[in-house]
Amino acid sequence: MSVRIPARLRAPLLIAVAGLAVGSVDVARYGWAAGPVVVLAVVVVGVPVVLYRWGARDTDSGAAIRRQLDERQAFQRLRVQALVGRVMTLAAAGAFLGAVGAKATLWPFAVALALPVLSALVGRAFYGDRHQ
Amino acid sequence: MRNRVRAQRTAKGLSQAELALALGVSRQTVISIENGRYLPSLPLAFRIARYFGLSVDHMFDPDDEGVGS
Repeated sequence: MSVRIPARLRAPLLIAVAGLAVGSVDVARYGWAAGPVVVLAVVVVGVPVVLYRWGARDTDSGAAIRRQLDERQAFQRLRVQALVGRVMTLAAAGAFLGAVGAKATLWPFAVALALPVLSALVGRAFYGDRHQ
Repeated sequence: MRNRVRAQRTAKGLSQAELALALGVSRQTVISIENGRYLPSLPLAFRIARYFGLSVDHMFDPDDEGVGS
């Protein structure tokens, strides 16, 4: 038996479940102090409610939340993802250089820098023109 | 690339939302196409042309770099 979740509910539910997991770890670590409870409430309740309402809008962002993108919106999402990738790669490179300068433990920064490089290579292999 | 989408839509008395629904795209995409900010894919260009009963090269003019219709 499969349960079909309405498109508008998927992103909010995902955030609520993920937020519950993260918030539970936070509460388990710090107890029911004000900080963790507020974080839990915001992530588990507030963000999903905002996403649910936002997903109802007849806008590009609303369509992205509902995951009901037409070709233009899908291309727009690809460009956004590419920009995020570039920024994160630069940030990883900057963090690695900073770690080198600070003589910090390098391997976490090296991993963070290697991941986007490897992703680019894998992407080329998957999406490149195989007829060349 | 100039196109005749807006002219054809208004001639038929359709709103942007109605045309979007008929073409299976968002209203924002119809707006972007009409304003020349987005070039539709070939399948979508054919759907648009067929919806209005015209050819693709009648709907979209590649020689004119002007915006919209």
